[in-house]
Amino acid sequence: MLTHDIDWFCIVNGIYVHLASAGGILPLSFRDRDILRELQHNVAVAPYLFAEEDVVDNEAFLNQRFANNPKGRASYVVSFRDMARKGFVSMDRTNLLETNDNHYHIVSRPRLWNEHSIENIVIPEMPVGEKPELDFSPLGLLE
Amino acid sequence: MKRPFNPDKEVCDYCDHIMHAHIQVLRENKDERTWYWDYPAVAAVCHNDTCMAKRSSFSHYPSGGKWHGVLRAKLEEIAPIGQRLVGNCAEQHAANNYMNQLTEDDLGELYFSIARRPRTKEEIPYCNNCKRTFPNIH
Repeated sequence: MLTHDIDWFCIVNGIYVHLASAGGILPLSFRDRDILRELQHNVAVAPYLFAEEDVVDNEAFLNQRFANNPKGRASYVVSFRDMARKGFVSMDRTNLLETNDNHYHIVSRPRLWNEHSIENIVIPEMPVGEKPELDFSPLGLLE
Repeated sequence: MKRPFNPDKEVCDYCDHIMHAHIQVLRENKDERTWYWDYPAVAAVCHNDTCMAKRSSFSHYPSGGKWHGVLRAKLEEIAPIGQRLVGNCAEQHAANNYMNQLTEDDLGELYFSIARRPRTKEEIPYCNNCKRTFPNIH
């Protein structure tokens, strides 16, 4: 896990969430390689539910992280916007330098993030007690 | 005539390659011995001082493969390979590829691109293991 940047997926309080581990540790319930790989494949071949223009980015975070660096910002958001188009609130682990830090922030999400369902993919619910620190606060601010 | 390359462009191009390979592998559902099923956390390029020769690699656990003797000895001053993240770094793998394939025995002749996260191309600072191992990483 520490050498890889793993895509993992869950449902948290009814929200479809994609998370990029960025060299961090996955919760115990999400470490089954066979289950995770099947899920990653199913998401990879899933159709887009939203157009590019229906995805919004976390402007507050991106302005702070990539002020005066539009090229850096453009490179950063690519994979997260792709996941958002597939229906996920797409999050990244915040502190890349500390592998034990499990805070995640939203990068991109569908504009209408709570009015759809993702069909034909079995996405696990986040078990109580294993939830990393997920900052959902922008979901209210980005409307 | 061959021209010197830009190490940062090389590592960015390598990140693009990894991203495209990753997407293809996931879509084709290849078996688990395929590289890039998961994004590596870090990619790096090792090159000479004139930027005329290079080798690339990415972060991964040091299973299999042969470590160059000089590099192995230096790494094992920190810990046995496989412990305390020794032998995991993209820089170390890139250096190993360079030293083995280009017959370089001097760690002081190795230079490195900025290390980048393939998913996003963010710059990743060098770790203390790499700073201890490579004279040209500070």
